[in-house]
Parts: sequence; C-alpha cells; structure tokens
Amino acid sequence: MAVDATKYDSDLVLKVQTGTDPGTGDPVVKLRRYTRVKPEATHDAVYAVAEAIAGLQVHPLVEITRQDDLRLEAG
Amino acid sequence: METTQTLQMRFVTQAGTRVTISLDNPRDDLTEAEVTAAMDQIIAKNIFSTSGGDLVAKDSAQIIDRTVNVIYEA
Repeated sequence: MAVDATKYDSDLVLKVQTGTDPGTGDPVVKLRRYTRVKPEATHDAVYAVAEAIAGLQVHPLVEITRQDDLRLEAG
Repeated sequence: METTQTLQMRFVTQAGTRVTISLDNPRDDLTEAEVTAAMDQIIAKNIFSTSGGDLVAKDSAQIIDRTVNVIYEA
C-alpha cells in the first residue's frame, strides 16, 4: 500500500534570543509564529519574508524555521 | 508596571478586507522607510493566505504600547 503525503498547511517560526538566563548564562530563546503560510510558497520566499520581519524587531534572530503539515492518504 | 510594544502592519487583501500582521518588541529606532520596505517585501513574496485572498497593498502601520498594571496577584 502506497501512502501519499500532501502539504496542506505551513507555519513560519522565527526563533529570537530575548536575553540570557541569569543563573546559567544560557540564551533565552522565544518563538514568534506566523501561521497561514501557503504550503506552495517557496523556501526562498519564506526566508526573505522571515528576514524582513526579523529585521524590524529588537531581539537578534537565532534561526528561521518552517513547519509544514502533511496529510497522509493511502493510495 | 510593564510596558510592551507591538508593531502592527495592516494590509489590504484581494477582497478589500484588512489583515494585520503583528510583531512584538519592534526596534525603537524604526523608520517609516524600513517598515514600508518590509511590508512591500511581504506583499511581493506573497507567502500568506487569508480569507480575503492574497495581500495586495499596504494599508497602514502603527506601534501599540500596552501597559500592564497588576492590581492583584495571588
């Protein structure tokens, strides 16, 4: 049985460093989630928007991640 | 007392409705040119879907100050 995976939703998640833990000195990372990204949007386009948004805010950007949701259907 | 700031970027959709994309902790030295350039980039890359269709134009941008005064905390 073959199973097909179809992208049906996508989120853009920016990881930003909001500070450092006073006890351990480890960076404190917060997530900024942007939902309703088109599943068919290219990685290039999502990256460009992420950089544009991140450049407006005060905390340094740690990582740009994209979360795609896949629907599985037996063919 | 704690103050937080949020940048709200408002866009016009294909259907003519308004959609806001928000951003916490905007830089306090943001210029109009920087914000409108980011908004243009968001429109050009067209990665967001809304109930009104694609984002097609800029509407406005504003920074909202929110001050929280805790009256009671258990």
